[in-house]
Amino acid sequence: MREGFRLKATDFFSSPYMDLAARLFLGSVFIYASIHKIMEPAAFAKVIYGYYLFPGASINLIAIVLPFIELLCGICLVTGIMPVSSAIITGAMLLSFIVAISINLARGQEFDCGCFSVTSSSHSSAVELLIRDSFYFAVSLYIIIFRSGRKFCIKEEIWQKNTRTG
Amino acid sequence: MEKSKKLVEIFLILMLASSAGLLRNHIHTKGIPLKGHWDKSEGVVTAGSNNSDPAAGVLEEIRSPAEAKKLFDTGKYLFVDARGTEMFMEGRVKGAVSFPVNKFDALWQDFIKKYPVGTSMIIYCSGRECEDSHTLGGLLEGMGYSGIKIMIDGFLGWHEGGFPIESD
Repeated sequence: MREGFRLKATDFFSSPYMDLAARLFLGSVFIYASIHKIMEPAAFAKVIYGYYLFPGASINLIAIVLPFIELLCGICLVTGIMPVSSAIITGAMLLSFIVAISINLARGQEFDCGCFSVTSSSHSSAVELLIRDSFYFAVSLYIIIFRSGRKFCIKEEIWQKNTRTG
Repeated sequence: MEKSKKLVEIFLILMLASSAGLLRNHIHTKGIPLKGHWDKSEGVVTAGSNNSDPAAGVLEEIRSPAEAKKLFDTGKYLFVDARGTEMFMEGRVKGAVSFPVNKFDALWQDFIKKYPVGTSMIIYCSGRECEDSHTLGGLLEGMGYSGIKIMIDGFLGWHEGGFPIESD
């Protein structure tokens, strides 16, 4: 019974299908999350401002570049192009989101300009966002530490001479 | 060696994404400047726009609630509240009318009938972290109104100044 349980736990961390599911899930989340930010950069910049954490000179630049990092990492995860590097970047982004939300929670601060120009697709609380981002971070970690052969990877590393497609 | 390969890949992804982002921002109709206006002491915070209509007028800003109060006392100005109905009902400048900017299409015809072009008005929203008053002002300018003033400190500044307010 104990050995059976150990085998199942090992399967979870070595199953290429679990890795594929994690990549497809996380990749889709990031692609979806990037779209509105790309379409409405001014509104996204206002959201970044609302954390009161970033120097004014950096806010617009972050609003312009961050959504494309999310989009490209999402595409890389879904297609299996440099998945580990993409997961490292998404993990780093998620960690920074978690830190930013936590700082504002600790401050008891919630940005609400009361304006229509800052649209929010959901009215999630800071705690809900923390839980959600922590889960996504765990998925990123799983992709990073996965060690068995991956399925459906166009180019697991850019250095690879031969492509692997499962 | 493995770590340096990953670093190169990470650098590649970040450079490609940054380049794509900057290029898209440059050609996008809703592109924003590389540096916005995020200092409240200088005025309403905003990301700005790469594609402002040069023919559009620059709305006059009232930079302190006390200045707005002087104009309020003349009785010649209509105060227009660009915030949502709920916020309007909770508290507004005394005598202000509600015109939520997100309902512009539904409300502008009635508004023009009641307050024809030529009406002197001061528009406000929440304060320096909100651009809705500017947005509404721009839309009304497009309808033919001129001389629109924006109270940039919004209802918050007015209320903190101890000036006349009312609520439902």
